[in-house]
Amino acid sequence: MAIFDRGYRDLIYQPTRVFARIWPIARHELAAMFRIRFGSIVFLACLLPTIGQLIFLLMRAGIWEAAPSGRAGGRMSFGDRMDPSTASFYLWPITTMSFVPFLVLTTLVSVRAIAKDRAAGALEIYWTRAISPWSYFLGKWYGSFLLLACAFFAAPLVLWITSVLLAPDWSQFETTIGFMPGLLLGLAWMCAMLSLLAVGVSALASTPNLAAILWLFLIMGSMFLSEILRRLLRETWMLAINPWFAGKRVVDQLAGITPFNDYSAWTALAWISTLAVVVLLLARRRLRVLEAVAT
Amino acid sequence: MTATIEFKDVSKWYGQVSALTDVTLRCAPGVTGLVGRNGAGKSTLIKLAAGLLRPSTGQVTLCGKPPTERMARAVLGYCPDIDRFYEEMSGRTFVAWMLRLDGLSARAAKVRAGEVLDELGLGDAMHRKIAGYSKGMRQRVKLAQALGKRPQVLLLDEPLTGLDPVARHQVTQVVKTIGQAGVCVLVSSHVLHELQSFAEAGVALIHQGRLLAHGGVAELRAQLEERPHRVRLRSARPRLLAAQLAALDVVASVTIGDDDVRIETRAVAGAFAELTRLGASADGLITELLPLDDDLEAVFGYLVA
Amino acid sequence: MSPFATVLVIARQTTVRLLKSRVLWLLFLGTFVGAGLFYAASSKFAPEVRGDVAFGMLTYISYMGFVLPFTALYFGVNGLQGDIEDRTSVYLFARPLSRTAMLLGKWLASSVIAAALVMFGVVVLYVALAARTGWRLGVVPPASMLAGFAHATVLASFAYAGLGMLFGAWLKRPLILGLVFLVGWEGVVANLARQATARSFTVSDPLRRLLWQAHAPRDQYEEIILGPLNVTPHPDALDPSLAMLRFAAITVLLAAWIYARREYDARVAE
Repeated sequence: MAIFDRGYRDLIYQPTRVFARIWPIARHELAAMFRIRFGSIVFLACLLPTIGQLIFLLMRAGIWEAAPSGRAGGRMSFGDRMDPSTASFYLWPITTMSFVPFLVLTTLVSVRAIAKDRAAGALEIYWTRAISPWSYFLGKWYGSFLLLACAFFAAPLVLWITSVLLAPDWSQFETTIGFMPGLLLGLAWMCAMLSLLAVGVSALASTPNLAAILWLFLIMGSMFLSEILRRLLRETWMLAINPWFAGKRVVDQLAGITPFNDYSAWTALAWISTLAVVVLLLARRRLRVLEAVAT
Repeated sequence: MTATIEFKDVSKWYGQVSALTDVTLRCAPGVTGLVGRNGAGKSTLIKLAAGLLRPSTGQVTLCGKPPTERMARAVLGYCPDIDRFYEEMSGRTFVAWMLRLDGLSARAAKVRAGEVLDELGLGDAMHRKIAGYSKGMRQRVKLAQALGKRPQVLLLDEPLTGLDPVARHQVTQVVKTIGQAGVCVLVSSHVLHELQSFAEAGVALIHQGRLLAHGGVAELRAQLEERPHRVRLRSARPRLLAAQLAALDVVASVTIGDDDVRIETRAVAGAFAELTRLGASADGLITELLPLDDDLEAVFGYLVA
Repeated sequence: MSPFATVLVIARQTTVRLLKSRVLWLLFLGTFVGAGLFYAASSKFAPEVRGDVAFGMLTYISYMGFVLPFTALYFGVNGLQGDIEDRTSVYLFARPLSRTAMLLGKWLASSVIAAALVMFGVVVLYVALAARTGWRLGVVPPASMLAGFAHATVLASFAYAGLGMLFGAWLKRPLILGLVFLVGWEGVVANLARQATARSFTVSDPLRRLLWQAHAPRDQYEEIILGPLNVTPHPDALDPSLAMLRFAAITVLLAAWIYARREYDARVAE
């Protein structure tokens, strides 16, 4: 008796957009963080510095000055970190205080994204679906990007909106609108690049633990290397070797901030882009169907 | 030291979920089959016997000793249901390494590994990496590491999974021989008709964490009084046969088919005596006699369904 | 098999597996790349920096501060949790072996391999920098510094691998929490007041003190060792070698206690 004799109706083929096919993968990665208690704690840790700024903002709202300082750029100082009319106020919790939570978050989720599928043999199942390896990679990247963006893009955005709404007039908006779009664009770009690197490293490794250690070596190792070379060669641009520092420099540039260790943002952009291209080329090889099956 | 496995009022909980409840079971030397649906608790029972888990309540002993004791594990061979190995090793290296951990010298372990792999049909492939093995070959490597040290107690969790029919026959013969040699073997399997063929010490039926039944298939079937035995009788003259069968007190019901008659009876011994007499007296009336529910599969279905 | 024999057999097998590990070979290659990079870069900084300062600084930051803790921790975690995660541990647990002896064997192998890898890197770096001429004041890196680094490497390797074993035996996500320990906890505690008791719950502090005693660092090397708050080692602090040995002993004992008792079954509620 054929299966069709049991009243089985075959589905009518309906063309589906690429986004509709990769969104379930992205959603799965986005939710991965929150399926475990520890993940929620790490996510909260990522938000803590911004929450601290928000609390400060709320406290300050009661004694808000009529005329804001009007300084949008310039060299970052401690005072600027507490002034909601400056870019440093929104950037400092992210680029200075959130490195460790970022590292833990990416190690816990992003860097395991593809490696855990490979280790579990799930890649074989994906490759028999109507999804190409690049669509699969895009889905994983998109989910990881959304996760990082929730912590490192949405949080400063909410902080800014709150500062505007708490101000007695529109002067806060007028002062900050000059740099906020650039700042947010920079943060979005930084989230995109870092999540790309993390998911790319994940595609290279055969197990989640190996992916985690490769990621740690990339981020922490480059950090130590850049610090050593900066000290010995007295060349500030060496900091760009580390993807986090490179991203930070680009964000500072877009936000109009001159960092303490100043060097060309183009150097940072070039370095992190080169790294991304190298990782993608290596990942391309590892995501071939034969690689997934024969691992 | 008599080779036995004993569970006394054993219960095991995983958090809020009860995997086993008040299981009391004694496995004597020979092969005892362990049957049950998926999630019934078979693997949990075997892991308790292997000392991998501790019972929440009750006691488990292997040859009179707790399985967590090294003396007990020294006589234990365990074939798990997982499909994981040190993939970079060859089959022989893996088995030899396991035997080395069992206390054999390096040389003896290597020789014995070769012997047992040969016995299980992996003689040609034993030098290849396990990563390149098929499922059946991997299963045989697992068996080899369990059988290699000639254990007194053998725990086999789904040993026939992934094996082709020839390999399954080979393995069942090996296990049967081991059981006949006095080793206490507890083997779980879903291949009921094969399990029945070598579980000579009986079967234990687990359902939803409880021990439903333990004993030989025939005695378990005999205890299911509420289920009359069904027998199929092939005949060239089914109507005539049916008329004669209907007159017998031992026959509870008769169903006529195109070329056969199916009867139900609660007195199986008496029924077979009558059927034998009928078959001998009436020339060619009964050409074939086939019990339909006297096997492990039927018993399992009646108890669990 | 006696517990001692178990330790040796497991240590040998773990060593063989580690030697086939991709991470190890990546690090091995990275050693040469790093040494080459520093040798090339040293042509620029040699006239301004003494050889001993450069060697001390480079080795402390890159190897003592990064490669050693991460490698030893990873090998420790993977040695234990690797088997548990892929379930191959069932084969070991069903054997007549003491779990404590198994853990000790894995710890021994992980520590030794991590220490050997790091010291190899340090020696290669030393050779590269010692070959450079034109150091400020003509001071080339002295070979005597290698002894100090070797001493520190061995002890710290045992300590970090012990920590890896503890996390691997105890936690579901040992690598993540190991990372939090290395980057978060040690990063913070290392910069506390020098008499802070919390310093004894780290490996980086006794490691730093040991190198301080062994090398009597100067210039930028001294700056790095003291940290951003310029905290000199407390004179009454426990001898750094003993401190690291104590750390290793505590972590390994705890790990052994947990490993011997825990049921590593996927369905057991943690």
